[in-house]
Formats: sequence, structure tokens, C-alpha cells
Amino acid sequence: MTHHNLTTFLKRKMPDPPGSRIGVCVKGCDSRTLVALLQENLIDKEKIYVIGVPCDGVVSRRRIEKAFNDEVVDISFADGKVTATTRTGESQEFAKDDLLFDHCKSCRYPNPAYADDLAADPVAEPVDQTPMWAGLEEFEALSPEEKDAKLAEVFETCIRCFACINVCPVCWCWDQCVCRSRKPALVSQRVGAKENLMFQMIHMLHVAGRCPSCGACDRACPVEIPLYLLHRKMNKELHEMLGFEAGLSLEGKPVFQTFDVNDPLGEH
Amino acid sequence: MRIGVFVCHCGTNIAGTVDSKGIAARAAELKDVVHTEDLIYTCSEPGQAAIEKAIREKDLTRVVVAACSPHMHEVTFRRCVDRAGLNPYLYEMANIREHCSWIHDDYEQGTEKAYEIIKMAVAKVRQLEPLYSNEVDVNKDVLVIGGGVAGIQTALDLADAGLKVTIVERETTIGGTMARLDKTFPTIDCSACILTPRMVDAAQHENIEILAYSEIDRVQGYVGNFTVDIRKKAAMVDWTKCIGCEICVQKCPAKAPDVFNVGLAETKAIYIPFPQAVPKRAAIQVEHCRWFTQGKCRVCERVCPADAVDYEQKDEYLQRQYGAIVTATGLDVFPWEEYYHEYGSGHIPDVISGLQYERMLNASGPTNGHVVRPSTMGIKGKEPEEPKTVVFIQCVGSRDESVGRPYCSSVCCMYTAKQSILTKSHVGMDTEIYVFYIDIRATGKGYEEFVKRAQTEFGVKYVRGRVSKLYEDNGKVMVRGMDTLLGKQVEIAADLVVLASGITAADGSVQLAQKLNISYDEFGFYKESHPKLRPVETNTAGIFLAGACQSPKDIPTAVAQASGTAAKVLGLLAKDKLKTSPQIAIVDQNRCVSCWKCIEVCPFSAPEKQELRDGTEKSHIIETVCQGCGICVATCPVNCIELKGFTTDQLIDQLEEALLS
Ligand SMILES: Cc1cc2nc3c(=O)[nH]c(=O)nc-3n(C[C@H](O)[C@H](O)[C@H](O)COP(=O)(O)OP(=O)(O)OC[C@H]3O[C@@H](n4cnc5c(N)ncnc54)[C@H](O)[C@@H]3O)c2cc1C
Ligand code: SF4
Ligand code: SF4
Ligand code: SF4
Ligand code: SF4
Repeated sequence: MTHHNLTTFLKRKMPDPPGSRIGVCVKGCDSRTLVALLQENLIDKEKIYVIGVPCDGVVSRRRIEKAFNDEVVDISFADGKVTATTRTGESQEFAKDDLLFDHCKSCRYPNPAYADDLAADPVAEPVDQTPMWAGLEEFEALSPEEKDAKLAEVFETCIRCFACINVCPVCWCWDQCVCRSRKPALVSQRVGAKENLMFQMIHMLHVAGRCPSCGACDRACPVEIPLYLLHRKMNKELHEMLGFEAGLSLEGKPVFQTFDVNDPLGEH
Repeated sequence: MRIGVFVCHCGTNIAGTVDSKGIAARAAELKDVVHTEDLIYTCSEPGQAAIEKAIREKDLTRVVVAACSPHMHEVTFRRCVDRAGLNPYLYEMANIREHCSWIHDDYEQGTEKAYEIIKMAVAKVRQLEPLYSNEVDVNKDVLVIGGGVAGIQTALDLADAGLKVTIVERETTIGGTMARLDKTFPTIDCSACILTPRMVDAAQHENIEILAYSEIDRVQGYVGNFTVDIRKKAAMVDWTKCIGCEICVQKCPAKAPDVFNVGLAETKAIYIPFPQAVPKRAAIQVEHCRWFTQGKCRVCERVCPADAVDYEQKDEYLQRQYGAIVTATGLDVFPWEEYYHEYGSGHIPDVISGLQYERMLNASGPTNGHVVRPSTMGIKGKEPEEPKTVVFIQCVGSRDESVGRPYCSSVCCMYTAKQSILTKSHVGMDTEIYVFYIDIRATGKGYEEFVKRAQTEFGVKYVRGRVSKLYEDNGKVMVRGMDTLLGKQVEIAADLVVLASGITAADGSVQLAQKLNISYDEFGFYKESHPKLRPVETNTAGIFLAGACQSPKDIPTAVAQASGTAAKVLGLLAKDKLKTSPQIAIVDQNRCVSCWKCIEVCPFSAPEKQELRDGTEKSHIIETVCQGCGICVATCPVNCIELKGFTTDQLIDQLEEALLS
């Protein structure tokens, strides 16, 4: 299954001439970003054709590549095994489970939330629907000071290449990203852990309630910053506080655009 | 740039905790500050004159006033700056009272904090740009929501002054709670006799239109120019034909609970709440009608001499324009049955609410004014029994934290005294009457004397204490309570118990407030703009309050307030044009990425899609509709919306001053 979340490519322009459609293949997590965009009327359902791909997990290409000193040119799958071969013909077999992304291992929505057609039969959904927030336990165990230090350490190396922004399907501002604007000057162009963190915080807040933790940003980052520390954490908080998860159905709405008159807010 | 800083003492309100004089002197060191001054009462005439003088003489181009909350005096000083010839938006208020002196005790730290606040204001004032107001036309028609005594009073006052008024009432008749009362304290004059002529006045007034059985669907726009969608509910009777003869009501075979009589009687599926209803028109309660529930009957259609019954009638939608809106949605009675299980939750027939008792006392009520025990009503071949011992319990659903109602309902002490007097005169002076009370609140004109009369002249026994339990025993209602003055338990075998159930905001008041965008408290009562100085205005310009929708009130207070409201509306609509605030949001369309989140979140529907010449659509904020709340600014992901007078850069500078310097 493709690494990429292909909904990202729908962000730009919708097809001309009118009446034509763009086909897009989506895994479970990709479909949720698609649904998030549809919920916000940012893409037109009539102009796309969605092929849903039930998914049994995506392997990390990076993990395979790390096992070799050479470029990997072929990867094949068979019976839960993954075989990778390099340019020089060197080859190695891995257990697929060892290569899966953390969030794939605990994925609760492997089947597309919305599709015009399915490419295969739906896969079995895990019986245990307790949400898991892969990779956060260690971070959450830290004291506030240690968390600060950890975030500073992690974001120190960001080169602000905007790969995470460009690849993020629900990040909608393209060239107008406020992190690049000089007026208002919200983020300084200086590089450093603080500015980088500010930049990532803005990204996180802009996708709050819309990000389903598809992991696209994590995969895109050339310096391997664990962006999930922010996004998955945010999703966890939203789930625990408001029982909300992004992009589950077309009828839903992003959590920060809903207002329930029965919210027990007391005075308004 | 030449900045002037004026620091207020506010008597000792500020100067008690903050060295106003000292920080005024220190502020002189700040960049671009050329004049500083401390003033005892800046808002006073000499205070304002000092600001004007300094602007003129020192050629100030920016002004900071460090005093109270902008809520209090922003406008005062804006006018003052304007008078001195400076653009009124080149001024910033630093709140060193509510945000500082009032909440701190430490003089040194308070002074330091006040100075920080001033520094932040100076940082912002440097970034301000002149802003200019626009003028818009004003629509002079007024909408009054709710046709109780308060709504009627406001409508009559406005109509007499020549304005066109629409009363939207959700029931089929105007009149509200007062129409259900028997006599009124403290004069014991007949409620209907004083109210119904006013109802008729309203109906006949050439400037008043009554839209009964109607509700507010949607409100858009702003002061001077509201657009309101009104839903006229289907009565299943054509009101242009109905003559109110009540023949249909007599002939209708389907019984329905009588809401007007608070369940003490039954009415029919087709009904007119009471004989003096205005408008006097019939309506079918479809949930009780045989035709609608069983597909058989149509008796009313056959008997109606005016051919008015129309089973196909649909809700009708109207759209109207108004310059001002008055809410007068009044009160509902606290649903004691849901809360007071110790009083039998409504299952003991001889325990009734104060409003039910009003109906019982009323000569045109379900018992024709006879006071009887409900448990003995409707038994064939037996006359209903009169009670010999009547117990009143005050503060049911008032001043009771345990049911979430800490407030005093303000009328129950008085109406209980009234009802106890009326009981004696209806049933006889030998009736035993007990009133359980916490304490008596009789603050109005003639009220204390009235309660005294009940106690001395009529011999009503007042027992100080709460009733802990009501239960049935041997055909009586046993009242067990505490007499806290004697410090002992009392138990009374009563024939009838009347609960002075408290007052709540009208059902649906919160939903209406949200449509109108006005504030309400945790109980659903509408909030006035200022408890002392702006008691009939809301915080939304052009929307006003009258009557018990603001807080529990008796009739004199509700009517007085309603006339006050009318005066405020007249003041507003006396002008032909209104100035709009220039502190509104504006979109930088070059940077807008058409995500439409601003449209989604704006509570006033100010942003709209605008097609540009290149065919793309971008957000555009309608200047006259925007209220400057700033929600879109915080929402826009690319920050391409700026709120004039509160731009991101202005706020960043202010923040940097606070955090970095
Ligand atoms: C049992 C009892 C006895 C009382 N006895 C006395 C007394 O003796 N003397 C005295 O001075 N006061 C008395 N009062 C208080 C008196 O009833 C009120 O002061 C008075 O009715 C307040 O008038 P109002 O117009 O504000 O509200 P209301 O009379 O309640 O009128 C509100 C109107 O608004 C309508 N409405 C509500 N919501 C909407 C909506 N969303 N859309 C359209 N219309 C709506 C209602 O149908 C109603 O017609 C008594 C109150 C009670 C409960
Ligand atoms: S992809 Fe990585 S390096 Fe590039 S901007 Fe995002 S976090 Fe920074
Ligand atoms: S049709 Fe309905 S309202 Fe009319 S008489 Fe029959 S039951 Fe009553
Ligand atoms: S500031 Fe924005 S959200 Fe607020 S009223 Fe104006 S356009 Fe609407
Ligand atoms: S929120 Fe901002 S970017 Fe989105 S449509 Fe409105 S102005 Fe444009």
C-alpha cells in the first residue's frame, strides 16, 4: 500500500472541464483527512471519485533503508514477510510486523470512512476499540521541565523546509502560511528551537480537530522529527476532553467549528 | 510621535493601591512619551479638560488613559480626545483599576503591575492608526418579543410616540402571566380588569401589529437594521375568518389538558385560552385532535359558522425589518414537581402551585372562584369540599441552592400574603391558615403594611421555618416542618397546601438569546448591559429588555421598566442615521485562501463569498454587519483578517512589551 496520503494532491485545483472527476485512492487514515476536507466544503464531492483501500498497515520504507548502506530498489511482500533488495543485489528478509508504523499497529479504523468504491473486501476491524496513542507514554511521563527540554531538543534540528506542511492534507493555506508572513509577524524567521516550536504549534492548532494522525508529516520530515509528539498528543487530548476524533463521517463537523447550545458553559 | 499618558487616582480606588503620581512620572521615560499627568478623577469635567488642554498645547498625537475598565469609560475619553481635535481612535485605555488596584493589596507590587499595564498600552498606542466611522440609515420600526404586561406597555408607549410596533407572542393570545392571575397585591384589584383593557388598546392601536402564535426564527443584522424571520405557527384555523365564537370549542369531542389553567381543568383539542383573549382566535392542538391523530372527526369544520377551520394550514414565514428589538418574554413557574420529591413530586392532589391557586381563586377559572380541595373535584354526585386548613409554603424553588435556584423570586412572599387574605374572604374568616416562610421580603410601596394586614387583620399564622415533608394521611396532607422561632417540630394536618413556587426564565429563553446574540445568566434570565447605569439595554446594540425576562419582578416594576425601555428605544430611533464603529474586521483578499472558516464561525453572518475579477472567490466582510467581535480573526488560519484597532501587530507589540522587556 502506498506510503503517501494522496488526499494531499486534492488540495490544489479541482479538475476542468466541469463534469470530469479526479480519482483518488485512500486508506483508512487517508479517508479521514478526505472526510475532514469534505466536512468543511473545501473539496467538492462531485469532482472526485474515491477508491477505498482497506489497509492492513503500512511499512516504513525508512526502516528498511536503514538496514542497508545502499539504495533499496525493490521491495516485495509475501506471507507476512518483506524482502528488500538493493542496487548491488544485496537482499534481506524482514517480518512485516517489525516494519509497520507504530500508529498502524494500533489503528482502529483500517477501512475507509468514505469511498465510492472499494478496491478489496474490508479488513477486520480490531475488536478492542480502546484508542492507543502510540509513542506518547514516554513523553507524557516527563515533568513539565523535561518536556520543554525534550521539545527543544527535538525541534532544534528543524530546517523549516515546510515538507511537513506541504504534505499535510488538511493544512490548507499553501503559500499563504502565516508562518512565512511578515505582516503579521507571528513567527520570526530566525531559526532556533523556540521559533521552530512556535511554527509547529501553529501547524498543530490549525489542524486541531481535523488531523486524524495519518502520519504524513512524520514520514515527510527529512530530519526525522517525531511530529506525532504534538499531533497525536493533541488528538489524544481532544478525544479525552471532548470525545472527538476527526473525519469519522461526512455528517460530522470539525470540533472547533461546532457549538452546542447545551454545552454547560454557564454564563455567556 | 507625541504620546501623552494620563494616570487616574479614581479617588483612592486606584491610588489606594497604586502610586498613580509616581508611575505618571516614570511613564515620562517611555519612548515617544512627551507628556504625563496624574489626575484625581480623570472622568470628571476638570479631568477631561486637562486631557484636552494637553492635547492642544503639547500637540499630542497619541493618548493613553490609565484608569478603569474600557467598559466603563472608553467612550467618555474617546469623545474627549475627539473634542480636542485628535482622531478618537488614536487613544488607548489602560485598565489599572479592575485589572490591578481592585484585586491587589500590596502597594509596591500593585504599583509595579500598573506601570507594566501602562507600558503595554503605550506599546500598542504607538501602532494605532486613525479610524473613521460610517453612517447608516435607521429603520424606525420596533419588534417586541413577548406580549405580557411588560411587552404590551413598551409597545403602547412606542406606538403612542408614533413608531410602528410588532408584538410577536408565541401563545395564541397576548396577556402573559398576568392574564392568569386573580387579584394583584397590594391593592387586591382584579388582574383582568386592569390588564384586558390594555390588551384591547394594543390590538386596536393603529401602530401596533400583533403576531400571536408566532415565534422568532432568525435574527440577522445590527442596530438600526435588523432582519427578522418570524414563523407564524399553523393554528389550523384561518384567523382572518375566525370570529372567536367558540362554537367549535363547545362541540369538539376531544379533551386536552388546559395549559392556561395549569392542568386544573380540561379544555378541548380546539381551544381559546380564556374569554378575554386578544386576539380571540381558535387553534387546534394537533396532538390531541381526533382528525390529526385518528383521521376521523372534522366536527369543528362542520360547525364553524365562519368556515375558518383549515386542516391543511402550514406554518407561515415572514421576513421583517426593524431598527430595534425589545425582549419581554417574561417568566415561567419553577417546575417544583421535578425537584421536590419530599413534597410528593406532584402526586398529592391537594398540593398545588401558587399559579394553580390563582386560577382557582379566579371567578372565570376552572372552579369559578370556589376554593376547593382538588382531590374532591370531579366526583359524581358530590360537591367539592372546601378546605378548612390551608398551608402555604414559601420559597419553593427560590433561595434554595439544593435545587440550583439561589435567587429570590421577589414576588412569592407578596402573592402568598395576597392569596392567604383571599382565602379568608373566599372560604371564611374561620379558615386556619399557616404560612411557612424563611423571612418576609416586602420592600415595595405599601407591601410591608399588606403583609402586616394578613397577619393581624386576617389572622394568618406565619411560621418561620422550612417544611421538610408532605405526605398523605387519612384524607389529609400532613405538613411536617420546623418552627425555628420556637425551636420545635410542628405537624399540621392540612386540607390544601399551596406552594409558592418560584419564578424562572421563560422556557426557551436561552435559545432566543442565542438567536439574538444577547447575554444571559446561568438561569436563563437576560443580562442587562450595566446593572445600575444601563439596566434596560443589553450588550448587543439595539436590543433591549423589559419585564421579568431580566429578573423576577412584580407587575409595578415590570411596567415601570417597560416604560423605561420604551424611552431608551425612542432615544435610539430619534436619530435618522447611526454611526457605525470602525473597529471591525477586514480581509486581506490577496492572502485569503478561501477556506470559509470565517463564514462558518461569525455569529453575525458578516463574512460573505465575493467573486473577484479573476473568477476566484474570496472572503469579504460586510462592514455594516460586522460587530468587531474578532472571532473570525482568531479562526482564520492565514491570519489575513485584521480587526481594526486590535491588529495582530498591535497586539504582538503589546505582548512583547509585557513578556520581553
Ligand atoms: C403565582 C403568581 C402570582 C403573582 N401575583 C402577582 C401580584 O399579585 N402582583 C404583582 O405585581 N405581580 C404578581 N406576579 C408577578 C407577575 O406575574 C409578573 O410581574 C408579570 O407577569 C411580568 O410580566 P412580563 O410581561 O414581564 O412577563 P409575562 O407576563 O410572563 O409575559 C411574557 C410573555 O412572553 C411570551 N413569550 C415567552 N417566550 C416567548 C418567545 N420566545 N417568543 C414569543 N413570546 C414569548 C409569553 O407567552 C408571555 O405572553 C405573580 C406571579 C406569579 C407566578
Ligand atoms: S518537515 Fe521537518 S524539518 Fe521540515 S519543516 Fe517540517 S518539521 Fe521542520
Ligand atoms: S377535528 Fe379535532 S379540533 Fe376539530 S372537533 Fe374534531 S377533535 Fe376537535
Ligand atoms: S469580527 Fe469577524 S466574526 Fe466578529 S462580527 Fe466581524 S466578521 Fe463576524
Ligand atoms: S478564514 Fe481567512 S482564509 Fe479562510 S476564507 Fe476567511 S478570510 Fe479567507
